[in-house]
Amino acid sequence: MTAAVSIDHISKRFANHVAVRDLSLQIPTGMVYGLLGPNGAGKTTTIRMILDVLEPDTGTIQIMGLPNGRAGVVDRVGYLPEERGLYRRMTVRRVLLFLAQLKGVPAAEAMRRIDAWLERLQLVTSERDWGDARVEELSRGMQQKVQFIGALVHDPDVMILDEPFSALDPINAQALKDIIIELKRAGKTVIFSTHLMESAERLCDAVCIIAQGAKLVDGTLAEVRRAHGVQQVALALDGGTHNGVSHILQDRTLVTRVDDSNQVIELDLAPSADPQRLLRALIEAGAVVQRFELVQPSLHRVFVDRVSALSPNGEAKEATHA
Amino acid sequence: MRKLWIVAQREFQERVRSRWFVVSTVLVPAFLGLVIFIPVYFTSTTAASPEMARITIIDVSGSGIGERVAARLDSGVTGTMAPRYEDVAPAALAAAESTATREVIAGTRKGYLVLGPLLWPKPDVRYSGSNATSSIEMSKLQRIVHDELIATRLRSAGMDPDQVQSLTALDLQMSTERLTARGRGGSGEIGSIVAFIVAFVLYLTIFIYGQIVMRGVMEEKQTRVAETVVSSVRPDTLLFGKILGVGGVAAAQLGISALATLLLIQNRAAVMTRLHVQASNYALPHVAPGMGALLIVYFILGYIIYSSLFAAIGSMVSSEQDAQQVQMPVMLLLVITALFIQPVSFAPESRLAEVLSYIPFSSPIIMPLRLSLIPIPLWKLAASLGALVAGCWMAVWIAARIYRTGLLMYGKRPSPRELVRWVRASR
Repeated sequence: MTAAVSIDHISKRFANHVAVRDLSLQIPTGMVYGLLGPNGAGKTTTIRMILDVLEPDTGTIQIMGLPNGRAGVVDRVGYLPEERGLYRRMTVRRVLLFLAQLKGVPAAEAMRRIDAWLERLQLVTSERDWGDARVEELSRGMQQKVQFIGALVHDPDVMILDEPFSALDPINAQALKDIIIELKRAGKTVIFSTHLMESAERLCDAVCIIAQGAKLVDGTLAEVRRAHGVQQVALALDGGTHNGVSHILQDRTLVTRVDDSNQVIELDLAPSADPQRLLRALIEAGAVVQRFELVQPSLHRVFVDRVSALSPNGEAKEATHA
Repeated sequence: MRKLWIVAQREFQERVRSRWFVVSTVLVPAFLGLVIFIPVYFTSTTAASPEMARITIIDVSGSGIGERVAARLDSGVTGTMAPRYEDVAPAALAAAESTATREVIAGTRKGYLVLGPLLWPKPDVRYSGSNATSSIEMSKLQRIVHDELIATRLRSAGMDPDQVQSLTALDLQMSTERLTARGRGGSGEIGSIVAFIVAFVLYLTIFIYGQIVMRGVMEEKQTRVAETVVSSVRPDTLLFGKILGVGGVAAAQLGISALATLLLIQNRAAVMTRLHVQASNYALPHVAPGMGALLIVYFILGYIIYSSLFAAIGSMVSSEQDAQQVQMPVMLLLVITALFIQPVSFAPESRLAEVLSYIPFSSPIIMPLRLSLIPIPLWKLAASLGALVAGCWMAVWIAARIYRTGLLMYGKRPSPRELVRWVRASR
């Protein structure tokens, strides 16, 4: 199957820094794909290159098997930018008609779809038809809905959402999530960039983590976790870590990292360590084991590890909380 | 191409639908109309008043001329306000005059005309009234009396009254034409006024619509709608579409204004008669089709060169204050050109005027001004146009490169060095 988006060794250099360096990605059709990275990782630049707003210095990008610079190819893509805005003085219907026509939808067909969407997102109710109101008369939340419609109205094969959940109220975040799932069910490809690992973990089939313009890891969620290579143990002990077990947890041949969260202790096993040996050692040391569970690393964990390995000063770590 | 059209169409439709467009399109011709008619109206308004017939005619000549003057006043412009005719014996003149004076002071009559003995060659005729300072009313009255005196003399010389009437019926409207070393055509004075107005309208239009393009770009950038739109159209297309659409609005507005003004001027006689003003008799300068086309070409090119620069400025700033500062250089180019309109209109053949005709930033305003004043050799015209087209091409090229980078760049405005980098960078 042709990839929805195929990125082949692209680089983009701006005057004083390299935004994207030799990035290659295959984004399969019909997937929800997360483009993850700290702020300034090059996500927006990559998206702009996919949309042919920027031209890569090197490399090529194909959308549904066609070069993205070819006429009409980016019309197959819908885009919800991180920085959102609409023509404030235009009426909602006219803005949407304009956006739809720019993507090549004939006016009559566009009007039909716009009406359907306005109704679905409750911008047309029995009380009021907001479609004829000027954008500036709408509340912030309503404007966000109009923006979704603008990105969707031409029924794109590929939907790109840049930080879609930032600045969304919970109701609209829910509505957008529903739309993403619906698009996926309809066989569309959804690409979204985010630095919020929770939403990525819940929604994505596959992800790519980029930092400083380069790819760190990509693949399905399971692959990415597996590739992380670290086995984790969630441990709960009666009486805490004091009863002579601390020397076991400090044994670097067994455990490389301890994250004590009071109720649960998360341990990273050493690469060749056998979890059975750890359990045995704990019991022999007299610990009362309440929970001993092998777990896969969370996406958050993978992200923090990968990104902070690049920049040890913790810059990236901070970004994940933004 | 299709997208360019959609962008241009949006610009055009949204602006034409705005209240601003309707108001300004109506206001401009209305303003021009006022400028043309108000002075004429005020200098002559009392003359046109039917009131001027509401006078007493005291005829002591015994010739009956007073009755004929009254008849003339009663018809013509005067309408229903009939004059009162009194045939008075010379002895009773003083009494009749004092009665008439009282009536004028009381305001029931406008004035009184005394037709004294018809002495040869200088008859004794005088007028007293509240409107004696209105030169147009007085000259009208004097002409009527003058005509009737001649008719009276002809009649007393034995001519048939009917023949007298037909021979003295004369409606003279002398047309005037200025003839100078530059040749003949239209009225020279009007010609230079029209040239001046054309240059000034060009300046204003380029100024106003350049600003509109800049505000439009700033709006798209500041509301972030540009982020969405450039995912569907290239920044170049967006820029050209905007310039095209706003240019369309400018053309529509200018067209409507020009047409309305032209209609007003052509039908000024009817309008002025309505206002009871005598129509002035100037001829509109004849604008040859070739000349008209040249005006339009200069306007289009001038609009393109300035609006693309203003668009680039709009794309590189993120705040109103920045915009004010950054647009200064472009603004100065335009304003300085406007300052030259007057000197050039006085000396269209000067070296200064010639030089300004080759600079792309001044030629769109200066050249049409000169063209409507003096004949310009074809090669000079071609050189001016060539320089302007090259200037346009450069301005658009630079503007497009600044625009595509600036549009999605927020925060601090670029330094001149950064700007140069933007221009040189690839997309």
